[in-house]
Amino acid sequence: MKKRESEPGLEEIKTKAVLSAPSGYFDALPDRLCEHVRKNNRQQQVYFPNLKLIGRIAASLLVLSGVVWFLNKGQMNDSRFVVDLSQIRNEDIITYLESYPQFHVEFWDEWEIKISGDVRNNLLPDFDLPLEEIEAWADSTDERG
Amino acid sequence: MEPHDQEILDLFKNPEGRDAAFRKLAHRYQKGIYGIIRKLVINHDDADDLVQEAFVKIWKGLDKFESESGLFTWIYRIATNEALQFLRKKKRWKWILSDNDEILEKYLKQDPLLSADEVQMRLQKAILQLPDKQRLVFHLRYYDDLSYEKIAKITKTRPGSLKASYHQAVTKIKKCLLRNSS
Repeated sequence: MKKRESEPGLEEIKTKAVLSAPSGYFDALPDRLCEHVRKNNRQQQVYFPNLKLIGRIAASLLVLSGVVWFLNKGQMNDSRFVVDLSQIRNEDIITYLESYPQFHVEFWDEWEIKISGDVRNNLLPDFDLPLEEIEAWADSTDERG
Repeated sequence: MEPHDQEILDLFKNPEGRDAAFRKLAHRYQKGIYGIIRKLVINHDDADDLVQEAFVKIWKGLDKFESESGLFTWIYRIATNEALQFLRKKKRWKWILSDNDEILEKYLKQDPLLSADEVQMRLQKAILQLPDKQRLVFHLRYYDDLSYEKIAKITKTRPGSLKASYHQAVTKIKKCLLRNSS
């Protein structure tokens, strides 16, 4: 126990370690510390390389799955389209193609619609007809369509 | 560096001498490390756990230790960091539990190993009101009688700031003691 005189304000209080360790604590502590360190080292030797290996494998798998996904991305879309297409019956496709005019549109200087001959003959009115007849034709196609 | 420390380091470099070196180091520093950790965390069981963790870190780092900072300073830095980190973690749960200072004060009152008269007890309670880092500085200066230069190396703070922090701590403690005595 010693008395301190140089510090401000606490001169009258003697410095004393009020919190002590249980008796015999420091006799046993070095052995306990050595044992603790040894145990810790052993655990580290067993787990650490395994953790490293697991980490490397996981990272490789992640990269590999990313590469596979990227390479197959287009193919997967194509195959989904083929699956969708295969679910449509041939008869439906033929009906669809037969019921609509086949045309081709060019978007350059002016709109140009090319219609195949059969469709033109069957579906389009003769533009030399009187207006009333063209309107009657238009009404009839609306009802059909 | 002190001759004993150099001897320990030389012995540790030899793989066959590692255990003996570590045992010597534990003998040499156990009381100091336990003392400073115990003063900060108050509870003996917590201090015991933290001493063990600190020594594991010392063992792991001793290979790479560079003698320029001094073994004493390095070991004390590890020990005090462990204690401060522990207190920081405990404070995160403060809103669930109760005030950390209150917990430490409760430990202090219930400690069977406490040997303090009334004045000492009041001083301990007043010290507990300080922020953790200031408490550390106060303990290292007031109880362990370390120079500001040594404390500066341990805490990685400038000696000027430490002096200011210490004097601030003393003023706060004095005020607290006066308040409690009136």
